[in-house]
Amino acid sequence: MIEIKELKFAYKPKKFIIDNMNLNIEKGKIHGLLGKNGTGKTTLLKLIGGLLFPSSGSLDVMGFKPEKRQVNFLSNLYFLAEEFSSYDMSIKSFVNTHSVFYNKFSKEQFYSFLEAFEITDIKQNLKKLSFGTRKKVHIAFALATNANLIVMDEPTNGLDIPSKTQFRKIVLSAMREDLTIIISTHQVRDLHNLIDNILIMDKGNIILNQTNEAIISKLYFGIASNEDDNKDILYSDKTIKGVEIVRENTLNEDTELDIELLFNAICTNKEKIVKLFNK
Amino acid sequence: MEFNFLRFWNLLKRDFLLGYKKDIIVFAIFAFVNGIFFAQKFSYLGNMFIAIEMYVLLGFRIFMEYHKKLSRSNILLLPVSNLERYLSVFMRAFIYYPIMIIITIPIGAIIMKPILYLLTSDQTSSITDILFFAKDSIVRGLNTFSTYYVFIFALFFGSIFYKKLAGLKFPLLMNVIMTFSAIVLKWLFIAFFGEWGLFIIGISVDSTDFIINDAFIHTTLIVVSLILLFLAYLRLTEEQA
Repeated sequence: MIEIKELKFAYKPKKFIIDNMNLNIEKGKIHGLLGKNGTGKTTLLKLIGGLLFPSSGSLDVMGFKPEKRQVNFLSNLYFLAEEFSSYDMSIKSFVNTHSVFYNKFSKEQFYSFLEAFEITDIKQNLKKLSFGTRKKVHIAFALATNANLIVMDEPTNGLDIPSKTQFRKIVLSAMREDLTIIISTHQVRDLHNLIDNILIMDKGNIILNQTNEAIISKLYFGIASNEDDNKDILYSDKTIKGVEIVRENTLNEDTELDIELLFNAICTNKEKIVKLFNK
Repeated sequence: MEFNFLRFWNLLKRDFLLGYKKDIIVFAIFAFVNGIFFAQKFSYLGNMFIAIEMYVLLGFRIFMEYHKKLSRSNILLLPVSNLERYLSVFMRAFIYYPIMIIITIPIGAIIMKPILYLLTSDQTSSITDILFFAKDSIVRGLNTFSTYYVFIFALFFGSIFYKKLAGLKFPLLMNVIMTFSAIVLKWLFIAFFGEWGLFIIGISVDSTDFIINDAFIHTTLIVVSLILLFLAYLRLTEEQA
């Protein structure tokens, strides 16, 4: 779906935000792109969407070079930016004027997603809606395009707690075999039970690209017990429930992936964890 | 280069819907101004106002979506080709806006004539007069466009070249380039021929030379205009957000 080879990108000469990145993103999955602020997540997504042009290296998205902005590429991609300019038109006008550019757009789906987000008045002007409501309209539109690649940059920013739950449900209901979704966020809890594959970025490069299954086969997430040797613990965090830990899953124990713990573990013990996956 | 007529038509409709509210305000102001000047036979001032109106529209009302980062993403990600994006703005600048300016002349004149009659007691006012002046104004309007075509194409390019206040920055840049070129030209002429005066006399006295120079100037300006249009297209293809 997406093949990136030795990709470099800099806003200022020689100050690379993306530095020699190699990455393969498989189709038919929901990928969570995680990383601290300023690690280059948005820049990577913009490069994938053709909004920025690479300084060097190659980028192949669905067989297209994004910077060429070919119509077939753009009609199969929907890029939901973190912030967007609001159109001075009603939701109805927006969908009527913009859906025509997407061959597979389903108005039926769009209105059902809106309904799930509890947006019923389609005569409302987008400009007069709150940021969160506007975001919901764009999420509904993105999924209704039936594009093969949907890129979402911080989609849950501005959504209230019930809407975040609704967002997860809607995304899962819209999932198809030929749909690939990349969701970038620093609010890792929002991706709980949603993503199939985790991409973690650090200093302009991908340091982890693993499926959930691969992660839990290598790492154990849970509450520390007396048997846990301090030496094996890669990350620990005191909580009300006890001491939550991440350690190597040497005994193939059953465990549930905790994205937040994983992310914190990588932030504090990057080299050890990366080495573990490269074994 | 990809082009699909239906997709292009949809893009034109979208762009029109996005801009029509502000366009209405702008054209209402133009109708008022044009009405005052064209209804009173102030032909010279009227022509000047048409030029100013084109300047306002091309300097500040085209490539609007490309001027801000957020709206730039919207237009660049829309599934249309670069050629269609370009032609949509081209149509707006060189067909829609001139037609709208021309339409505001008779409408403005018809509305303003009775108002001016009440204010100034102008006895010559009649619908025939107004229609005659309007027709005359349209011809003069078209003449104005054809006279200032290089400036219009330059503004078109300037509007995608500069992201903020293109209408102010680009004319300023052109002014600097023209002044600098004139100084360099004068300096070169003096360096080669020793005297600046010969150059002036050479053009003004010899009528044959003058005709050749005039044709040469127009050919150059047409070539420059086409280059500016092409550069605007290239600039659009290189837009990033």
